This record gives sequence, structure tokens and C-alpha cells, in this order.
Amino acid sequence: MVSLIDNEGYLRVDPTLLKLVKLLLLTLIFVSVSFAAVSSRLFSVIRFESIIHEFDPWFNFRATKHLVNTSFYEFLNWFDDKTWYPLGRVTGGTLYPGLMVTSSVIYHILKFVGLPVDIRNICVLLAPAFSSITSVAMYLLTLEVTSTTPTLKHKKTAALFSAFLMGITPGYISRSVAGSYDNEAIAITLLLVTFFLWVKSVNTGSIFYGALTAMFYFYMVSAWGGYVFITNIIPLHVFILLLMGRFDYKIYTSYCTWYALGTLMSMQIPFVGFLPIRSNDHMAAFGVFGLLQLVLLVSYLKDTLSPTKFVRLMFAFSAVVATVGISGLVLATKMGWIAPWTGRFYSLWDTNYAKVHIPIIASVSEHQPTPWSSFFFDLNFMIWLFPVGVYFCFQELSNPAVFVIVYSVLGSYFAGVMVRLMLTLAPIVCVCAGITLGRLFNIYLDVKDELSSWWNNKESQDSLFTLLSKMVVSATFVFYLVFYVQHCTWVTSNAYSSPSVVLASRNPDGSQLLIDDYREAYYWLRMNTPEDAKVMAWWDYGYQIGGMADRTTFVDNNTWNNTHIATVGRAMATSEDKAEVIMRQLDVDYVLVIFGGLIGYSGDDINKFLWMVRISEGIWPEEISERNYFTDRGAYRVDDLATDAMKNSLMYKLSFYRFGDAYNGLDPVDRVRQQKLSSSYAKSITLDVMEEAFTSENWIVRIYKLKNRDNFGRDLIDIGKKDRKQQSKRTKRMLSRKKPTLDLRV
Amino acid sequence: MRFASLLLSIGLLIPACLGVRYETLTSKYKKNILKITDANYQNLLNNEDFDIVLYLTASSPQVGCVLCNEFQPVFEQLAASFYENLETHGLGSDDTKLIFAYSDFPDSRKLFQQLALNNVPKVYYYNAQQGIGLKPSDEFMFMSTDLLSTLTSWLVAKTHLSPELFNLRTKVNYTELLLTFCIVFGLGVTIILNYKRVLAIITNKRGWQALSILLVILFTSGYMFNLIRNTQYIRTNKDGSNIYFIGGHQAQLGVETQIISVIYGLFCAGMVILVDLFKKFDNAKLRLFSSVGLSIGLFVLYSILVTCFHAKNTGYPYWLLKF
Repeated sequence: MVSLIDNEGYLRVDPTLLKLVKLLLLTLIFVSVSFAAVSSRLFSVIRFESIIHEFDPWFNFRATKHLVNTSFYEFLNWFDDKTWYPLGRVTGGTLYPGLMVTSSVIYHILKFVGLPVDIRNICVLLAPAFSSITSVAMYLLTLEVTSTTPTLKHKKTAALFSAFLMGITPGYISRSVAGSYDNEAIAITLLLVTFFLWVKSVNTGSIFYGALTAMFYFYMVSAWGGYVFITNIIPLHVFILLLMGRFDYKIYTSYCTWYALGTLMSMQIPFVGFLPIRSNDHMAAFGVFGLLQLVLLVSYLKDTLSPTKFVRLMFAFSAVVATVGISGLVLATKMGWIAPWTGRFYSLWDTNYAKVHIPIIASVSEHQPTPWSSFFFDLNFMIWLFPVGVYFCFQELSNPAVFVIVYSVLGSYFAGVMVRLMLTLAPIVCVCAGITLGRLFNIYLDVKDELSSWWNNKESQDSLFTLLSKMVVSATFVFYLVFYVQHCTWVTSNAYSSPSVVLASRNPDGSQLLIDDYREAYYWLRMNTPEDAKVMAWWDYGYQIGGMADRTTFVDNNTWNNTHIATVGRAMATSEDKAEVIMRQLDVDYVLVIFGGLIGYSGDDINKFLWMVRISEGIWPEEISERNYFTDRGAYRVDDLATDAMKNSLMYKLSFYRFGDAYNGLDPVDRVRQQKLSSSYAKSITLDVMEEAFTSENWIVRIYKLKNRDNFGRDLIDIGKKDRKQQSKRTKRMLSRKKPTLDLRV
Repeated sequence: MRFASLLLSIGLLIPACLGVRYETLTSKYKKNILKITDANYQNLLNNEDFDIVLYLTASSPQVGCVLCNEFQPVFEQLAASFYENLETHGLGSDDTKLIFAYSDFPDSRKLFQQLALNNVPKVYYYNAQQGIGLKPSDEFMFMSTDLLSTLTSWLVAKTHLSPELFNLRTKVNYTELLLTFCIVFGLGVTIILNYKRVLAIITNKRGWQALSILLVILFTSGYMFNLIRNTQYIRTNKDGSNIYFIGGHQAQLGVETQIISVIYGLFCAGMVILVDLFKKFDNAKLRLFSSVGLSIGLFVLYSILVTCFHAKNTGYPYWLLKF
């Protein structure tokens, strides 16, 4: 009998059926959350196509292809001679292999099952797939926090809300849309799973969960450099618990298990190596590990010794520990075994440090601080539910609640300092917002009592009033939730779904226009240049050239060698004759520049030019000076009034060479800088050591070939000058009258 | 012929005599940075005896020159270190004749006019050998982010003096050291004496709660952005009205953080009351009024927040209530 009506008139249902219904509902909710999470990340695939985005993902894609085609050990030993020419890069030892290994495992499993899926599609869709796992992990984390904190009732509601909020929050979507095949795509999932297991192991004190935490920590270390966040937040949590006098064997067991196993395992990643025992990032974890042993010893002694003896021993003991500790630290730093005070340490606390001392960090916009509007943009109404959640966590300070508080404060500090750390803040915001919403809806949506009392006693105004007030509050918050969905969809669709390899624009009539210059040019490189051709471009495009054109590059987004980058910057910033020497020394075949002046694409090389100048000025201050590229009045000009250094620089010439031809004798206009060049001046921009090899449809990518040395050993620039002189006045006049038909590819 | 050359040499000598001698100056302005005003600039800048490094600034708050105020201590410290290196450490030779001077806009309007300045700060270098007049021999470019080192290297290049002369000397400020020590000592004593009271404050949950929420609200309303970027507090239009929000996610004013943090604080208070409401009020009517009132309040607050966001992101399509 599944259900029956008992003699009191209540409907009695079989408990297993109730459980089944509950399970069904839960599954349904998760399916819908996953569906929402995955589908909102597919904007770019639908609008453009299944394509890898931006810059870094192209390297990850290329590395994944290498891994799929070779074995794992070969991948770890990979020495890549197609980048950082002529130095090469020890790629296997300088990357986090987690992402590539994950997708290659998926690839092989699917192949084994009999579903051969193209590796590119796996890479493109990896991030959305992991986002649905993230929301499950989010559910587990919130459930673990709320179910062990008695005042945070209504645990499942809160957990489900946080899962839903996490699924579509733009703060997380920004790094996990389809095609953004980057480390963060799987790292956030791992971060949440690690935190869930950590909270679980503190609650249970089991070695099993501690070891599982270490396992997932290891996976996280193998996937993303941001693992340092975990390395610091767990010790901080334990440290604060110790200060609160919460020491117990559960904490001891879980922390020691995690630290010992996690550290040993993380050292197996070649790129991490001995960092966990050397660098300052890991010192906190080590310190807390030592502290826990001391606390354990002290609590043991306290139980066995008499109070007076204990106090005496304590004084002696603490003096010894302090002297040994401090002198050991000083000695180790002096001997160079550990480096607690490196540049990165300063850049987190004194954020101006990086700006002054490391121009290459300052040139990356991801390292900028975060204004309030970005928080609202990425988190919508959760940003004001967030502090409320922190407030509720304080009502009963259980160990998991302390974890949430520590994470909230620290996470919001880091997110405030650096835009890209919004990613690590988003999960805890979802937890807090989920707790708040769960609590609110549990109070205000629960109208069972009011309905029944109103039903039984129609006269009672009290229950009607209560009912009404509950409905008003619930309605507003349901509206906020709907608004949240709208906001997230809009943000995702407008801000985070552009692959930046293909650009979208609008025709005058409003129809969509796709600008596909990058791929056109890279494809040209792939098909028309020798396989061992070396292409010089600014480092932003290194990964794309490697990934799409499969040609050797000099510098790329890895930026491990500042001098090499500065050399390329110097070649771009100096005059043609000096640049020729550098390029011959580097063995350059082609030079690729990005030029947006014709269609108004602002992310081009002329706008990035100042960084090239700045970075090379850092190495050759006597040769290159940033000031020379500004006019006397401090303006950055590219037209007739540009400074000589600007006009003579290789980058300028490569960008504006034959620019006048596109305008058929009219004055050409640079649509990015909004400056007009006179047509006669535009014609006077000449190139002697290079020749134009390819210019894409909208002139965004321009590729030049370095001319071979003259057979008679003459200087190429002299030849060019002589040639121009020999054009007699008559031919010049002829030329100007005749207006030859231009072979422009428009 | 001889007469003519005599005349010529006298003519050359006169301006030199008119100018101030290096020795008289240094005895007067020992270890101090020389201030140039409208009263003395003619004499000082028209000399052939010593080189001058002149820092032109506008330090008054009305002008609001951030870079000037940032650079002033750097320049002063360098000047002080230079004089100290010269005198006490005997690093320079006898013919090292370099004067550090500065000139502030309100005191030397005439000079600024004659130099035809339209922006400050500027650092000019006047070489004694290179003719007479107000035209500087060289100008320092404020381009780099590390101003001190670039200024030092620029000075070394211009003056051909040994770089050691420009090494910074930091003075040990003993009074400050003593004061810090006293404060630390006093604090330590008070803590030990009032051990129980201090412990009560430290272990107070409410205090930590307030602190955490405050920190979270501050960080999420862009406080760190202001701190790192040294943002302006408020911006004023030409007609005198204030701008409270500037567009774009790249910029922010100090007042924005204040407004937004107040809004978040109100949100937080409202939400806490709303959630705990049902425990507090027994009367159903009171409950209705307060919950409906709070809902409306939160809605209005949210609309204000969205309106503020519109000021930052003009393309945002959603509104709650338009203000």
C-alpha cells in the first residue's frame, strides 16, 4: 500500500515513496542547474563556432594535442624548440599539466567506449562540463557547512540555492565559457571539492577525508598556480581555530594528514618542485604544521605534569623555540635556502610594487585592482547578500562557520586587489548568499501553518496578515532571483562570450559582420611559409601563432624571459637599420604586426607599442627612451606630427606602410587614434629591409618578410634610397597623373 | 683694438658680478633647499658661478597637483642628502658648485610667466657655463614610475658629478624611535595591567562580527582600488556641480566607495531585520507593516544601486526604478 487515508483524515504516504520523490526532485533540480550552467556558457559556440578563445588557451590546446599524440612521459620531457627561438622552452617542466591530462584522459575514455570525439571539441567544451560538476561541489560544500552549524537551519534549501547561484554567476562564467580552455576551467571545481573535503575532514577528523583532501589538493596543484590560495587559507583556518582555543584531535589529524600528503604529492609536479619547502607562499602552511605539533605536546604535558612544573617548563620551552625558530629562519634566508621575501610577496601586500618594478606585470590588465562596479557586474545581488551570510555565520561559530568567515574576508581582500581573483571570491559569495536566501525563503515561503489556521478559522485576521506579509517578501525575492538570471544572461552574452580570435561587428544595416582576420592570416602563414619559418611578433600573439599557424615564434605569453621580450621590443622600437641588425642576429624570417587603424580595432600593436618601448627601455635605457615617442606637448601621435623616433621605428613603418593606398589618394585616417595623415606624408613611409608578404582583409594582421641580404653586399637601405632618387621628376609626375589601379584585397 | 677687447671683457664681467656667489649662498642656506621667488630669481638664475637644479611646483591644494606633492619629498630628500654628502663626507671636490632650488607657484608668478609654463611639476637644470637667461639648459622628464632613480641618473649625466654624491642619506629620527618605543611600552603595560578587560574585548564575538562585515563591505565596494590608484575623492564640473560617479570600470572616485558601502550597510541591516523579524514581533499587524515596509525599502535601495551602476556602465539595459 503506497498511501492511505487514516482515521483522522490525514493522508499517510509510504516513507520510501517520499524519499523517492525527494530524490527525484533533487535530481531534477541538479539537472536543471547543470542545464542552465552549461547552456549559458554556449553563447560563443552558437554565435561563432566551436573555437578555442583568446591567447593562453591556444597554448593549452597545442600542449593537449602534443600529449594526445605522444605519451605522458614524453609530454613531461617536452622541450619545445618552436617557441622562444633560439632558446627554446622546457615546456614539460614549466606548465601545470592537470588540464591537459584531464582532457586527454577524457579523450581516451571516449575513444575506448567507442565515441571518438575530436580533441578540439573536448577542449572547447571542457569548461562548461566542469561547471556543472562545480555546482554539485558547491551544493556539497554548503550542505557540509550548514548541516554542522545548528543555527544555520534549512540546510538543503541553502545548499540548493548556492548551487544554482554558482551555476550562472558571471564571476565564474568569465573564466569558463565554452572555448576558454584555461587552467581555471577545471581549477575552480577542484578548489570547491578540496574545500568541501577539508570541511568534511575537520568535522569528522577522519584520516580518510584528510587523505582525500590531499588528493584533490594535488589535482589542484597540477592544474593551476592559484593552488597557493588553498595552501594559505587552510592553515589560516587552523590557526584561527587554535587562537580560539578549539584545538582537538580532529583538527590535528586532518591538518597533518593533508599537509604531509599534500606537500609530498604537490612536489611531484615538475613545475612546482621544491617550492613547497622554499617559497614564502608555503611558509604559513609549514609554520602551522609545526605549531600544531607544539600545541599537541603542550596539551599532553599539561595533562601529565603538575601545574608549577608545567609553567616552568613552558617558559623554558617557548624561549628555546623562539630563538631556534628565528635564528633558523634568518640563517636559512641568508644561506639562500629559502626565499621568504620575493617580489610576489610584496606585490600582494604593497600592490604598487609590481607597477614600479615589474613592467611586464603592470602591462597585463588582469592585475588591476577592482572597482565596486566590477563586483556588481560579476555577482549582481549576491554582493549585498554576502555580508548578511557572514553575519549569520557568526551566530554560531562552529569550525565550518569559521572557515566561511575566514574565506570571506580574505577572499574579498584578494578580489579587491586583483580583478582576476574575483574567481576565487565567487564561490564563497555563493555560499553566503545561499545561506541567506535559504533562511529567508524557509521563513517566508513556509505558509503551511497560516493556511491551515486560516482554513479552520476564516475570521482570524492574524493568519491572513502573516500570510500576506510572507507573500510580499517572497515575491520581491523571487523577483530578485529572476532579475539575477536576466543580469547573468546579459553579462555572459555581452561581456564574456567573445572568442577575441574572431571579432563580431555590425554592418550599417544592423546585420552581423564577423571579422576573421586573425585566422585568415595565421592560415596564410601555415600554408605559404616554409615549415621552419621564424615569425617575430609581440608576445601577445606567440601562443596563437604557435597554435594556429604552427610556426616558430620568438616570444610568447609565457613571458619567462624578460630580456628576450625586450629584444623583440627593441627591434620594433628602433629604426630600420638598427632593427635589421637585431633581426639578422635573431634569424627572423617574417614579422607579424597587428594594425587596427583601418577599421578601428583598438587592441592593436600601436596601442601596445608603449609597452614594447617601456620593457626594452628597462634593459637598454641609453638607446630607447619612452619620452622620444611623445611629442613635445606629451601627445601620442601617429600622424604627420609624430616624433622622429616614432616615425622611424620599425613598428610604425610596418603598421602604416602603404596605408595611403587604402584611401585612393585621400588623406588616410587612423580610426583608432582618430588622427589624419596627409596623403603625401603617408606615401613617404617606406620600407627597405622588409617587404610586404601578406595583409589581411581588414588590414588587422600584416605580415612582412625580411629581405635577403643583397648579393653584392650593399646596404639594403642605401639601395632603397638610391632607387627612390632615381625616380626622375617626369616619372613621378607620370605616376601621380596615372593613378595605377591598386591591387587591394578588399 | 685693445680698448675694444677691454670693453668686451668688462661687459662680460658685469653680469657675473651682478649674480650671487656660490660661497655666500651656501653659507646662508646651509643644508637647505633654496627657495626662489619673484624677489630673487633674476639674481639667482642669471649667474655664471654655479649650476642650479630648479624644481618648479604648485603645492597649494587649490591647484590639486598630485604629482607635485608626491615629488616634493623626493626632491627635498635628494637635496638634503646631496648637501650632507658634500659636507660631512667630503665626497665632492672644491669646484662642485650645485644648488638645489625650488619655486612654488603663488610666490613666483612672475617667474612662471617668464618661463611660459603651462604645466607643473618641472625640474630644470641651469648650467653655469651655458649663457645667461631664463632658458634652462635641460629639463627632466616625468615619465618613469621610479622617479628618484631616474632623477638621480639624470642629474649625474648633466652635472658630471660622481654618483656617490647623490646617494640617499636617511636620517635616524631618534625622537620618533623613542616615541614608538614609549607607545609600545605603554600599550604593553596597559594590556598587562588590564589583562581581563583586554581579553574581554578580544574575545568579544560582536566585535569580530562587526569587523568582518565591515571589511567585507569595504573591500567589495572598491576600497582597495582607491588605495592602490590614489583616486580623487570627488570631481567637480565646470559649473561647480559635483560628479559622484565616473563612467567605466577602469576608474572610480573616492566618494563612490563611500556611497556604495553605505548602501551595502543598509542592505545588510535590512536583511538581518527581515530574517529575524518573525522571532521579534508577535503582533501580526505590526509584522505585516514592518515586513512590507522593509521589502519596499530594500527594493528602493536596490533601485538606487542599479541606478548607480548605470552611471558606471551606460550600456546596462535593466532598470528597477528610474531616479
